[in-house]
Amino acid sequence: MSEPEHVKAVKAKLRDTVARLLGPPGDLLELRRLTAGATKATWAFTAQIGDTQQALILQTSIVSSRPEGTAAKSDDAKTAPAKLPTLAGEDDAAMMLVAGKAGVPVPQVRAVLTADCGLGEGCIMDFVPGETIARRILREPRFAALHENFAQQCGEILARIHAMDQASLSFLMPLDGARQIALYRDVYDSYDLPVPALEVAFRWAEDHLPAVARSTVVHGDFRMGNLICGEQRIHAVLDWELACVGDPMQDLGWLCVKTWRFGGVDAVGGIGHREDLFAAYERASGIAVNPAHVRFWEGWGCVRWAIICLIKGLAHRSDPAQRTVEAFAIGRRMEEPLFDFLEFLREEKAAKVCGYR
Amino acid sequence: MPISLASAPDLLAVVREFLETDVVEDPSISDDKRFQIRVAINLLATVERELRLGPAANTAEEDRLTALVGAEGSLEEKNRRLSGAIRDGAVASDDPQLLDHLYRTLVDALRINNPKWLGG
Repeated sequence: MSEPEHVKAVKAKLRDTVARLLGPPGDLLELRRLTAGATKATWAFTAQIGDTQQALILQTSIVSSRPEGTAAKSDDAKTAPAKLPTLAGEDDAAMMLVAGKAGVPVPQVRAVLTADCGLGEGCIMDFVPGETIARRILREPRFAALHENFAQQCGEILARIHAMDQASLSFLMPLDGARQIALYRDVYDSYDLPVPALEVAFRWAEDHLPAVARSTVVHGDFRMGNLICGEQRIHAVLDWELACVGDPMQDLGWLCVKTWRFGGVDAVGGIGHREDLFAAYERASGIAVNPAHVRFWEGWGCVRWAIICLIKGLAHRSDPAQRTVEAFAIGRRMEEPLFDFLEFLREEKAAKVCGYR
Repeated sequence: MPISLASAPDLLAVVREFLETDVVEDPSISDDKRFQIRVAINLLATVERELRLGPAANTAEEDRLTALVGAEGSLEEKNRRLSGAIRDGAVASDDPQLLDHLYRTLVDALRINNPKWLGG
């Protein structure tokens, strides 16, 4: 079977890049595109470097990031859809380097791509063995031991992420709750698509935003699917492009959003309990977790995912490369989190009536 | 249109079945492609459900919207009016009639887009 042209092109450039940045000869013994990741192209490959064959990952951005990491609101917002700020290239790699130093399990970054590589923005990392596909992690019996302490590990890892040094990550956008809600509302407004359920959701978020006690580095997309899992432990935290500086509790809430349970029953990625997540976070960080505060971010997480579905579903309007079955299918998923949000409101109301909050 | 064989729903179904039985299981297909074919199969099934359930869902949604914001205009215009009313506070965002409407609308949409999301 002959290789498609775009694979051949990547192969030639990648070989030269490996030889130059990691060491000669750089011959590729295997190159395959991985399915995971809708905003990034991820390739797994094995390269001959000196006497050794090394398993590596090439990650390149598909979505171009905003210049200078500026806020989404701009004068052209009426004609072009507003975008979420995303990290790419060097900044994404810098996140992983700093995270690694803070004790967060991340792939070792081996080289950051430069313009003359011709591969776009991105980096080359060590291949981390394990599983990211949630369906398998939830259902295959070999992950039983992981299920036992998944929530606890997430709590410990998040505590380390939230202790990462902000000073060395000056490119991170400050995005407290109010700014985040305003940013996502701007994105929604820029599509000029009336969705009454989103109007209710934004109103709720603005009315219920908790006062913030702390502002830390936030991963922004810490969830099942973005974690490489072994049978016992989480081996690596991926997908740092939505990182920002803000309320750390949003990472705990996002992790519990129903979409990221992938059909599992339990709140934390479908396989762990909130209580274990909170207890481990408190032990590791020394900071108390207010469950009602996290719960806000879980509700907001539904809204946020709905907006991301909207962005992906309509991305083809401004970017022909997004005219894919996958992107269109994500657009059709917008009602899932909106339905979950209404269920969330019902649960909150019932909880209030029962007087526990 | 004169009678054409087969009907649109049957055409969609037969294409979907072809992809399901003959294409997706082909061992020479890469994992990446196989994933995309599975997504395409799901999209065809979505269109099949929309052809079946869409008209009644739209009618029901429009009737509820009329009760909330009046009969004038298209379905989209009514949604625009309701969205504006929620935003400027003319309709309270915790109004039970509004929430009931949104819930029914989302349930009907999920019956088309992803019935499994509703459970049971």
